[in-house]
Amino acid sequence: MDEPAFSAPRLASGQTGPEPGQGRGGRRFSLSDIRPTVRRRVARASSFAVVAVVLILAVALADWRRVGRQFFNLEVLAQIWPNVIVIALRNTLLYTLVAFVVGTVFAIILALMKMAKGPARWFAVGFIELFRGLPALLTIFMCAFMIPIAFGYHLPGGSMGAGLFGLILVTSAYNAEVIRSGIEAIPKGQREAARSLGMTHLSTMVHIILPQGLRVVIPPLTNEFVMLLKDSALLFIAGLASTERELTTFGRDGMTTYASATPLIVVAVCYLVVTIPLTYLVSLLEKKMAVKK
Amino acid sequence: MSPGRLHPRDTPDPAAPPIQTIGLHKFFGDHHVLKGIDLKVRRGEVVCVIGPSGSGKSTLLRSVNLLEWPTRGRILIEGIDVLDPDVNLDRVRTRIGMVFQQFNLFPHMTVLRNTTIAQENVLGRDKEEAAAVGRSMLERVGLSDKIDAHPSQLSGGQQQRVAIARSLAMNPDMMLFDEPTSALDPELVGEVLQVMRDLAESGMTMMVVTHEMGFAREVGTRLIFMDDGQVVEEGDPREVLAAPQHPRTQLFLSKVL
Repeated sequence: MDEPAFSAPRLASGQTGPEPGQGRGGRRFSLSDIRPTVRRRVARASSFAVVAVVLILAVALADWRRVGRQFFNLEVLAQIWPNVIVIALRNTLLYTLVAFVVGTVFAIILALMKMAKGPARWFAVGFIELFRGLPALLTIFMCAFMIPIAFGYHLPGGSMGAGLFGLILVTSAYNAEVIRSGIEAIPKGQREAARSLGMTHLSTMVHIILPQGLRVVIPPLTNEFVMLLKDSALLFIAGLASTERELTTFGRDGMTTYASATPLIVVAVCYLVVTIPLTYLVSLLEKKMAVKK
Repeated sequence: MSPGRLHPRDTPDPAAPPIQTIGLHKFFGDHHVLKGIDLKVRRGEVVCVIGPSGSGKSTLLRSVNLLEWPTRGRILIEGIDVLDPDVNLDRVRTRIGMVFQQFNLFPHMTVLRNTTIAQENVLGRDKEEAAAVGRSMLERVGLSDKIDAHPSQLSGGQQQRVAIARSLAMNPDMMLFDEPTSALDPELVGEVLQVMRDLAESGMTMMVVTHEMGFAREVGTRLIFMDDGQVVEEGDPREVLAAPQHPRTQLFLSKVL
């Protein structure tokens, strides 16, 4: 019991404290002292309380006419419609899909390299640590501006292509770790059975381990997809031409053009329309997989 | 060791014993699991290996097709020194069927696909031929009606029979069984043993790590008792089980029989 060393000065200063000899049970109140179910209920109640207070304040303090004009202005909506869908949402989905598909292919290769030995492993470890350790924004920025300067080479697609390349690097680093965890979750008996049938290391990986490992990581990969969809907003730093704009850039431009926050609201709704069903899908998939096991 | 590379030492010698180990030692860290095993399995023999858990019997079996890499010693499969780095190990493994305690079927494939994947991938058989072989092997283990099922839909006994069919589809020269009935509910043990019995009668060379003394007595041509990483006693199963000579064999059998 090392508790008295800390409680003694408090007692000496006249505060009410635990009786000596009460031991651990006598330390100051902490949430972990409550039973887990109660603790969860307290946590939930307090988050509801926070939301309620914010809502009450918002309702009481907001200037509703101005809010309506600023945030839900139908004339502005008419101006940005349908470009918010056919340009911005379309580009967001396109960039996300491209970065995800290409990044996942790289990620599989990186995961396999990381599980190998020697220089391949060192490269994979270095790559993954680098791009998971850097802010995605910085990586995109560096790809867009440093590669052309350093190598005199312009990636196809201009700044957008360069930014997208940065996004692919980041995605492949994150997904590599997810995929590696999936591969390692496959029982070693699977590998042994395949090898004992004479299958090579490579075809064991391709036909037996990867198909099962990738299935295991569908929920976490879907999560990564949602994160990536939101991170695609960072492409703005590369500088996008008007037809290349994704949702966030489009919303920001709309805000300055029409001096209204409505484009931001519209854009936010667009994100949620895609992300909420996907997160819901993840929890469904996780439940389904839990039942299967 | 690129696949497909031919080497003179890759060619099996039909006159050599299917399995031979010479002075085989295996360490797991400091743990000495196999202490010099000299073993010869002749063609058509059914060698049953018994012994207490931790005696090294599974490790010995898994060393034969190099799922465990021995620390010292030699392993000859049909005369081929499989520890020779020039030998194409994958090619040797196709001739050694292996059945595991946990079945290890591929859960993402149908029963038939389980039996055809390695035929196509390793032996280069075309789809039709592989499927025909797979079907006939599944018929042999009595599972023709389960061809399109997935492993998870089968009982343990059925899964183990599929695993046997999967190995047989490669036309192996010998079969290794690593406690094939230990993970099964008691009422499912019989169907698997029956398939193994039929296989033995067809003349297959078999090495079986088992706790089924009845099977060892009736089907085995030789019984090996292992303890503490060594072969303590071996001989005709009926004789060894009826009148064990070594005190350790006597002690073990008095507990399990």
